[in-house]
Amino acid sequence: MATASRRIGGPGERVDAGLKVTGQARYAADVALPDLAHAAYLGSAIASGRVLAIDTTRAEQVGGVLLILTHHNRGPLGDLPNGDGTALAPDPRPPLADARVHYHGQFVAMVVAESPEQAAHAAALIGVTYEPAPCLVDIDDAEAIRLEDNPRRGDCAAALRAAPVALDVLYSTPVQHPCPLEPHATVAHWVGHDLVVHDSTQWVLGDRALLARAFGLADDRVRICAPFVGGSFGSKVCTAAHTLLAAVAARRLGRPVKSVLRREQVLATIGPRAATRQRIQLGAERDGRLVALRHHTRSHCAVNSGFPDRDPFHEPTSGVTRMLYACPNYEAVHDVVPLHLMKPGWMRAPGEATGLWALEGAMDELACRLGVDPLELRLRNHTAHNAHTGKPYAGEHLRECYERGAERFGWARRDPRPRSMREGDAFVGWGLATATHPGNSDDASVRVRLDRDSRGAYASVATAGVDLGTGLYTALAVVVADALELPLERVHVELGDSRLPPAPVTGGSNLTASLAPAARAACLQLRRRLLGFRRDPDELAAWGELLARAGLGPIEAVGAAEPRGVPGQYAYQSFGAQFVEVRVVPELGQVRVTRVVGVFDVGQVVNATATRNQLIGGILFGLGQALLERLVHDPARGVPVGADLAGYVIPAHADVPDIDVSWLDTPDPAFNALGCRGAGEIGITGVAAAIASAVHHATGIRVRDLPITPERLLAELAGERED
Amino acid sequence: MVLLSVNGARHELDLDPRTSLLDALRERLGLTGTKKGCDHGQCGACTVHVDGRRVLSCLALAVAQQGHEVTTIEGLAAGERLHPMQRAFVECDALQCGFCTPGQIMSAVAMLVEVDDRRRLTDAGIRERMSGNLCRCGAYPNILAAIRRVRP
Ligand code: FES
Ligand code: FES
Repeated sequence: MATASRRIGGPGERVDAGLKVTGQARYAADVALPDLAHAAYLGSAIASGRVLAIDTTRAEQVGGVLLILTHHNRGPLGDLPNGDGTALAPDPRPPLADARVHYHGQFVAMVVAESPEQAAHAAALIGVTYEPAPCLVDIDDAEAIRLEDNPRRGDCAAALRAAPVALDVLYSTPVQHPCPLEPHATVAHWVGHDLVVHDSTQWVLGDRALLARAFGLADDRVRICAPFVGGSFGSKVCTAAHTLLAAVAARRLGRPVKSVLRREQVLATIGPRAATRQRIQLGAERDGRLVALRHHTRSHCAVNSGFPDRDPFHEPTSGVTRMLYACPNYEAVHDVVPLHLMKPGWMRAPGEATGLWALEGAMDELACRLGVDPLELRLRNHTAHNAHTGKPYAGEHLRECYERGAERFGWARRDPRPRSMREGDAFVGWGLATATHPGNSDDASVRVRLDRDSRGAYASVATAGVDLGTGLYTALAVVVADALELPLERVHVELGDSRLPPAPVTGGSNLTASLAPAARAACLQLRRRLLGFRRDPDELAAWGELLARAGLGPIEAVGAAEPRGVPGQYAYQSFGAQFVEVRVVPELGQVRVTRVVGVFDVGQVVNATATRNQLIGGILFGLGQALLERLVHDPARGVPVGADLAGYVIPAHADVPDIDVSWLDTPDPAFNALGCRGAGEIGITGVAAAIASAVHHATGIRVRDLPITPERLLAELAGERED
Repeated sequence: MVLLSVNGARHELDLDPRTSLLDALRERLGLTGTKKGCDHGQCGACTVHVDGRRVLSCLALAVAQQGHEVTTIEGLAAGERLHPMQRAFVECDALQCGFCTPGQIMSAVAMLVEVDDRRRLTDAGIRERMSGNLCRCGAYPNILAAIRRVRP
């Protein structure tokens, strides 16, 4: 490891990598406590209806069983916060609330036993009698409810009618799942009347607020620890049902309880990305400039979403279609379709990954229709301000992303005719799409403490924010090392504990952008305090020496993310251009992505190594979205089919193409003191559309429904041969 | 009583015959570096070595390991000195959340032993041989780079 202080934006190893490669990083399920009991769950065998009777006699006889909870004996819980911004429950009703069943796999019983084997065995022996009711799990086969929020500008209908060129297309996405590799896990224990929970969560303060309310405790009587979380991608924002039950059981038993979801329970009971059907209508001039854009989305929600009192969770597809391209007339309509499925939730770039799939697909179709190069079409519709709010972007470099990406990819050599490029048996296709994600940040605070030992000064950095694999440990260490001019190994970072200074949920690519400036602000406070102890303003004294001279022990400061500039003056947005090459062997119908080039503007990069890794990870999420991932439910019974990692296929080593990611060095100083915007989600946003465009270029086949499977392409290719 | 030999240490355990090697390591021996991602042999997070070969410990019964030498991620380094594969994973940033990492490393180390001529191992060959180890964070290109660094 380089010992010199590392520059912001430079490359470098992760500060927590050593713990991770030796198996020493402690995730929630790794927490060992004396007297630990183990939980297992029985999920409902029906997707809709009621539980008539539960027979636990056989389960109770299993040796080691300590407790069986059902809706009959779960006991009361306080009102859970929902919709007030302090915490989120996945489901408006707490678990084991009553006899109603509204999705397959919904917990109907919890067993706690001395060992995991005993708990699992006993859960399997519980007999449940159901009264099933008809279930609906197909978004195309159920009634929709129109939501009221219809963003619009101009007169879309009239402009569509009058447009010289019109396009009207339907793009679909299936139910997909964040499916982090770490299954959701909780260890709950009570210390006296205080609750301590080790949880895999994106939001320790959300967990704390929810559990405090559930048990009628003051916030400071609940402590949540999440120093390491094994990925999340949106799925660990809500406080999961099993986390709440683990705390209930631990209190009942007076023992710590460990609860780890099985993979099929992750897929069935943790909110997925909603299925969408998106109708895009484009009206354009003959040169390709848009005059009208209408975006009508249907997305699924849960029958028990709590609507209309609560947000049913609608996949926010129109957030991106309304702002991306200059277009005077716009309208978005959103319908939700209640289904007997787990309530959907966030999955990496919610809204952008789905909305851009539809919009960028339609833009490629428009380019083909007009005979305009798809890149040129984007340039003709480019805007330097948010097309919907009219606010100028504080920093906007999309044209440069297109330009650099095209050059790195070799886009100019593209023959626009479908099936014009071949290599051996394979058709080769090139496609591109725009990537974008809003610059988000939230109130956040970081404590930095400066102390000294025999080797001089060192800093301890602490915040409740959680590192999900994003590199937050490293980013904060780099920022503090830089601001205090300390070697990196003299900075220690502590994260993911609700007792540390408050930080927001890790979500919306917000955390580095919120916490890095806060950490820097704390360092600047410390500098100001210590610099007063210099003998004269030019003296170059080490911090350790100034601390000694001041006769101080450790000094500390809490920095906050400060709002910059005039509120509401600017829009903050990250952009990118993504270029994809695919190969399709017509006899196999299999799409192989062979090359991806992505050039991004994410503002100031804090840690180049982790940022590159994250952008690549986003691109691979997009590859999964485009080619592999689909959670299917049996339409008759609502059972998730193949709810495991063989059925829900995510990208593996062998799927990985050659990926070239880079970024512009373009800090956004109006956004925050470091000018950084976050890079967790933008990587996924344009990938699916770029892949589908490349598939069209390769084969002439336009796929508007994900994932693009071999069966689908083979069917189309076979159909052609018959024609 | 089952005698398990793990990372050079011998443990006498009274085990439920249903207990997987993975659960025995994690729940009984406190070796939580080996991870459970699926419990079905589908993700590779639980990869350990049994007599030097890679094995999915969620699919192996603990009682069947008597007489065999089990190595986990905790036993890979020589004291403070990281194994070259661990070192390469750090240097190549071959991880994000780190949950798949112990499995990837154990799998990679054993994979290189499986092939007769490491120098003829292509990138595509490595990817194919490592495809049983899923990484949802998508650190794959860096994992490949780390393995290449150790390969010769
Ligand atoms: S836990 Fe063993 S392969 Fe997934
Ligand atoms: S690093 Fe997160 S799953 Fe591989």
